[in-house]
Amino acid sequence: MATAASIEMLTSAIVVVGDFNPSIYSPDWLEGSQLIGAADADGARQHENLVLTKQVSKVESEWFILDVLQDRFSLTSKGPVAPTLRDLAVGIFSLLPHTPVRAIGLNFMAHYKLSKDDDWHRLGDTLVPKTVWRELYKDEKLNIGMADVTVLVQEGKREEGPTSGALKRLSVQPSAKVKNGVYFALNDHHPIDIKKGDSSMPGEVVVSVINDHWQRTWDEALAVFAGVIERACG
Amino acid sequence: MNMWHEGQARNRTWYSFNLRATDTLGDLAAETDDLPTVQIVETSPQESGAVEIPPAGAPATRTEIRLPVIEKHSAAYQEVPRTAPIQIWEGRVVSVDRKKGIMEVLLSAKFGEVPDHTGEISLEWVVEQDAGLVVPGAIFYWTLYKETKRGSISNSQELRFRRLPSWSRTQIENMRVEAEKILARIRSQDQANPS
Repeated sequence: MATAASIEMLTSAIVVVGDFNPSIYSPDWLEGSQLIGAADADGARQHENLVLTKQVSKVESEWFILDVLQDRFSLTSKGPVAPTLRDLAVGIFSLLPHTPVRAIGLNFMAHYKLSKDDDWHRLGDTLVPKTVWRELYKDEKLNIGMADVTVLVQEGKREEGPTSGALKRLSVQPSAKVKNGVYFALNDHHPIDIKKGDSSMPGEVVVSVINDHWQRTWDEALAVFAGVIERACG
Repeated sequence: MNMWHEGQARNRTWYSFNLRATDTLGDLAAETDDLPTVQIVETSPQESGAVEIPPAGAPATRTEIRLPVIEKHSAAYQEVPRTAPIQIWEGRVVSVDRKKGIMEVLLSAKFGEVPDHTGEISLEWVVEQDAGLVVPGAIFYWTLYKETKRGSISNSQELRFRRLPSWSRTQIENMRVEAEKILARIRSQDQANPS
């Protein structure tokens, strides 16, 4: 990537929608299933944010945060993103293959610092041209700025509509963490639709999606984020 | 069936560099209260509040449990050190010499056109919880990353071994039964349609 920006923060989250029993996802279970080490499990047990109830569980270690509600599973990186996040999600769903799931999202979020103040405005003006808004808000004392842009990328032609439920959502916002920074988020959404007669178990399909797509989505996220900056800022 | 599983290790070394001796060091953590909200999508990350539970040993009183509030905060709102990977290597342990305290490894870089290469890593970088998992063939991830915390920037590294769950006896038995069913089906198909 050109020197127009530097990446300051990258996080990843694997989110699965379905029917869950949050009380299962405890540090004891994770350690007993050999998904995390003893020290990580001890840290999670002693963590002030530990919650384990029938309706919700929250397990936090030095490198991940696991939030499980009855209809949602969310595994988020803490610290540097590494393939161990993928491995943990794969391990969990490998051990719970019967978990009813409806969709999975592979998410990557990043904050970039733009090297020049002008670039920050230029990026906003490129993604959200102000011409239309200036015609509606003529008062020059008013400042018009981009707050959020979300783009959907789906298979299928515009006039024919989407051909599948899979889609990608790309969001761009001013960064709340980095001065003159921009925040990007890529959600790679995959519906899980197991047809009658299909011998695959839902958890196995989730594992398959993660193994096939997580690394690719990571690469795509960095390429797209950098690509937007390059095209907008030159 | 492969029962062998790799372990996880983590260690950190901090190298402090004065990477940016300019006014940008103190300006990195600019936060505002007027945060833009992110449209909630079902498989995007969400923030959740804490559930209050009574402390252990507290007198038995009627305590209200509040369920978590799902709030529309973007991930930008989390107050955690900022990290961004500089390079990640996926490594495979080739051999281990416990007398010398080193492991010989093969490293594949994730970023850039960097050829695979071998190297030696001291076992002191493997945390105790994973010492027993360092065996030939084990996979690990070695991450070099930039960490920004309260205005200071440092280069840090982490070594983590891959962990895969081991199968329970019940799962193994279920798979054996399933395999026998499949084999019986194949055999009966072969008998029905001899080639």
